[in-house]
Amino acid sequence: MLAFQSGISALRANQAALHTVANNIANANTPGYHRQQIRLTNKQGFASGNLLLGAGVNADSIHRAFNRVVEESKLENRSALSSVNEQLAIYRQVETVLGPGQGSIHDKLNTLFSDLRTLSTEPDNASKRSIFVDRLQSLTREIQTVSGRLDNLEKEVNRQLERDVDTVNKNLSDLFGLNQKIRNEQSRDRQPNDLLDQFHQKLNDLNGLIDIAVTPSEKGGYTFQLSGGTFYFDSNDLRIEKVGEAFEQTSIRIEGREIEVNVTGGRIGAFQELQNSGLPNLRSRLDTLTNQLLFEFDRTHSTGLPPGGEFRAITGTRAVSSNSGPLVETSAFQQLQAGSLFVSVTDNATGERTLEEIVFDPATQSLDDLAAAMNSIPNLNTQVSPQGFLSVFSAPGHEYDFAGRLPTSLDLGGFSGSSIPGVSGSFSGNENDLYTFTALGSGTIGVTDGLQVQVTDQAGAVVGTLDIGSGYEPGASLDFGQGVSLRFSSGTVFGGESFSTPMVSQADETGVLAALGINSLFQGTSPATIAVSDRVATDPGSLAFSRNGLAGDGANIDRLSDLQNRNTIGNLAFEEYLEQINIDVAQQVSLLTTEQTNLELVGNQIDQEIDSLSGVDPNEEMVYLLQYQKAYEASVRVISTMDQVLNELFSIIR
Amino acid sequence: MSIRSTINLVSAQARYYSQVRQNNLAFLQFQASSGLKHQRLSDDPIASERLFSLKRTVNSLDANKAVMDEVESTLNLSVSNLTEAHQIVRNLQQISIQARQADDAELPILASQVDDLLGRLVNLANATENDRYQYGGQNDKTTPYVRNPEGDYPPYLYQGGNEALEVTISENIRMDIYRPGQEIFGSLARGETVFVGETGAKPGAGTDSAKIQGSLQVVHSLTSYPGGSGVAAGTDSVNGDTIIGALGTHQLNLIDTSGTGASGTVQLNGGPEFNWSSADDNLKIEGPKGEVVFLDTQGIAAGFSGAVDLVADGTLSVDGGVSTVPIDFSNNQLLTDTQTDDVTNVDSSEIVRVGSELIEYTGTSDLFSTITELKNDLLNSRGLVGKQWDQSLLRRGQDLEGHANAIIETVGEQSVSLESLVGLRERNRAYSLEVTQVIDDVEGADLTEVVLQLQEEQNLLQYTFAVTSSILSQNLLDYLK
Repeated sequence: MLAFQSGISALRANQAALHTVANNIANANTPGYHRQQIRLTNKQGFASGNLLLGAGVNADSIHRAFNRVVEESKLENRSALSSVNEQLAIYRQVETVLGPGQGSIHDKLNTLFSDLRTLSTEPDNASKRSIFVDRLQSLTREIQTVSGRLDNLEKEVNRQLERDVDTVNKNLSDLFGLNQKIRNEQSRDRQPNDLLDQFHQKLNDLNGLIDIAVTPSEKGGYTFQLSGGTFYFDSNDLRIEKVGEAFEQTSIRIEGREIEVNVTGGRIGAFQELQNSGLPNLRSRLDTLTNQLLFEFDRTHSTGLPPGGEFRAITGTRAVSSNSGPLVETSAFQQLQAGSLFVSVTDNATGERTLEEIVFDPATQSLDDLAAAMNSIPNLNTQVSPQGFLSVFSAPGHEYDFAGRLPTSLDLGGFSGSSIPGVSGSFSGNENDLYTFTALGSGTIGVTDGLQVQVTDQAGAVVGTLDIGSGYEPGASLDFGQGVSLRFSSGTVFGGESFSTPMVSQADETGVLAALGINSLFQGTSPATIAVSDRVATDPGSLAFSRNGLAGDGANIDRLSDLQNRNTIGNLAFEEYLEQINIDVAQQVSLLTTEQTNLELVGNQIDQEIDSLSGVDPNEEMVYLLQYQKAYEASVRVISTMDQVLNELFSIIR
Repeated sequence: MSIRSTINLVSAQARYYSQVRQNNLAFLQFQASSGLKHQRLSDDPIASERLFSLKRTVNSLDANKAVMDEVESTLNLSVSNLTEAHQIVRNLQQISIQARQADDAELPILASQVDDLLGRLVNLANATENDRYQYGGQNDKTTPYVRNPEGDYPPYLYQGGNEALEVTISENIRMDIYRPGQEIFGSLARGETVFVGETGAKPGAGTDSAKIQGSLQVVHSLTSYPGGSGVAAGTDSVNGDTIIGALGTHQLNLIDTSGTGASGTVQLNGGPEFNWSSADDNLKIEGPKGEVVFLDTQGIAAGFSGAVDLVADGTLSVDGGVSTVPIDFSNNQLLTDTQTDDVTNVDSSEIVRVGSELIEYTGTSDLFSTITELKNDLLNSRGLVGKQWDQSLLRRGQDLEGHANAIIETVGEQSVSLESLVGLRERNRAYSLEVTQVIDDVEGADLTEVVLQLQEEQNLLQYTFAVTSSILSQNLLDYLK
């Protein structure tokens, strides 16, 4: 009967084998499925006389075709690729938002500078001014739009991060459940192939969210390694949590344990990098660009004059956070620096114009201090609102400006001759200076031979020596360069006597006018709040393009135009800075794209490796099917043959 | 790679590579359709960085071109206007020459012509372009020349700006587009001051500040007779003497023919003899040039015969007598017009008689003052006689020559600017073209290459599908019976 036993064991074993093959074929396309193989062993034989007879076959076990090393590589690849994919998706959006195409900030800034050039030929043209204001508004709106889109991206990243943390927690719970079942099965010395497949598929999915690895545990099942091997867990109560909201630094912690997890892979790693570094960095650069754009344009504009001339009352558009604190700390502009602020006050009746200098240090002085200093200027008054806005207004019959124009009457001090000197023109030097005019010799203007006046700058260097004696027409202007000319009325001068007057190139060295929004082009302090100043928006005639108040003077346009090529942000001009942001984003996208391609290729190779071991090849299974089918048929034949043999044997008895 | 490949793997590879090929085809489609090499900056960040710089350059060159076009139009218009103005001034110059030969009946007709031409010139000086005054400098919204309501000189007041409206053409190149009218039609360089009269006053050594025309009044104040002759000033001497001079400039030759101081003869400056007697207290005598002194001969020393040097003091005024300055007979006396504070330097050392001097501050008249002076001279409104009138017309002609030169000089400068502008624009255009070509090279797609790549990608896609299909069609099931 032993042959029966062997045949039956063979029938059972081949049936199991056929079932394994059938299962493989059934799961040929199941994600995460690992090909299973049955292990057949021969049964322990027994002695029969001097013979050792076999006892048939055993279906010993069914094992998965699984290569741990390659599978771990796949997890790492999945984690890295998922991270790269998400970063790439976001950076591609950033690239589109910031891109230099038509209608972009870059395009509008460039158009603005081109318009300035055209305006310089006709500074008082109402249509061109209106168009320029439209361009300004278009630029500010685009900056606001871009800022809003970046905000939305940051909020979206934050939302995604929160959702992914929830998903990770759910998957971890599932994973721990599977781990427990695997452990239970293994404790019973069973190979839980399907559970293991589910476990590894879940692990693979999880690695798309966060980098997590597993190591087989001695107790059965697996221990877990979260984000770079810092933590090992073998429990079912592990949860992570996100700390920090949108626009804040975010960290991932083990819930209830105050332990920070340095996530580097998966979507969470990507989103955390974007929220903590990538997007804030871009926002910071957009902030810098906007802040510097506002400051430089407004600093230049604030010291210009509209065609109508001076001002009677202006209220600043920017407030400080404290009226009594140092301005550099209470203003939105850190560019403020110590220096001079020049204020001119004009008497409308006489046309007499004074030029007063206020020396101000924003690092130590406050808005209240500035207001007090301005108040001390005759016929000029200021008011500071509780909200931190400064108003400057002139006494009746007077007007004021910050153009730093030369005074109509000089402070002659000890210059005692009967000739009255005067200066006129617009100083074209690059830095503020103090010019001193000294008579070389005594005599009568226009009469005395060899009578001269020497002009020296603050450093004592001689700027020019001018003949004012015989041959000089009293009252005639003597140009000594830098856009300024000197004149002497008829009369006398005395040798060695001198007088001085400031030559103003930058009427506001401190930048306080821009910081407070006095006669500014823009209002607002950030990409979200930037706008064209209400004064300019409602009246393009208030654009301060002139330096001397004449309708055709576009000297301030030239200064605004100069900003196009001036290195205002580090060693870059505005457009260059913007381009640099674009290029950096483009390089980031390019790098991530390359990395994505590489990871996909590596992933493909890993998949091939895994497939070569764990994949189900139906053709191969068909061969196995034939093989086990034949074996089964042979076993049936063995039993049948044994049956015939026994029938033959029993026929003798019959 | 393992030798074991499953259908799953074949399928996955087919999916992956067909996606890759489709992506590449889509990108090639973009290149072929747009003609651009790159769709996004990230397609080639390095090329994009270069493109930024190149496109900024082109934009800047475009802005330069727009400015150049406007400047060229403005300068062309100005040159045209000034050329016409120059021709008018030349016509006026001809009239000033013609007038010197004309008879009295023709002069009013010529004056009328001058008036017409003056009107045309003022219109040209107030020419506008798009409601902007071409010769108003930076004050281009204000009429540059308006009629002076207070008199003839200057006939038109300049209200424009003193600085030219300057425009940046390109980096470091600036050009004036609206020149101040006073630089074109204003006064010329101050020349010598001309005194027209008989007083002996001459221009002083100093530089005047008064302009156009003026007058000097030389008024007698006191004649004194030093020495022991006994002759004294007559009762009408202060207002009636016409002599002015330091000691010795004028001389009496007094002879007491009676020997007792009762009577005799007297000559002034060697002129005709006049009899005097001790009863005369206001004897009027005249010199050879008509100069007059009133003498009191009541106290002449008996028996005095001989020469008596006179001192004739007086005053000078350039403001119609509002202020006077005693004559000090120096080579430079500074006289101030108290109404304008303008000064005139007078050499009073050779003043010999009272009277009025017409003063012309040559070179200080603007074009319109010069033309008005010409018109007034044609009508002889100052009552000039003979050579004085002729000389005055000559000076008007010279002044007009100067103004014509000033205008043509501006025409020349603006023509040079135009010429330079043409060169700049050509360079600008050439540079722009060159940069545009570089941009095309950097961002333009090579269509031949695109087409070839397109074909290659299509082939690969087809191969992918064909191979996959072929592999999947081989199945062991086909052989199982």
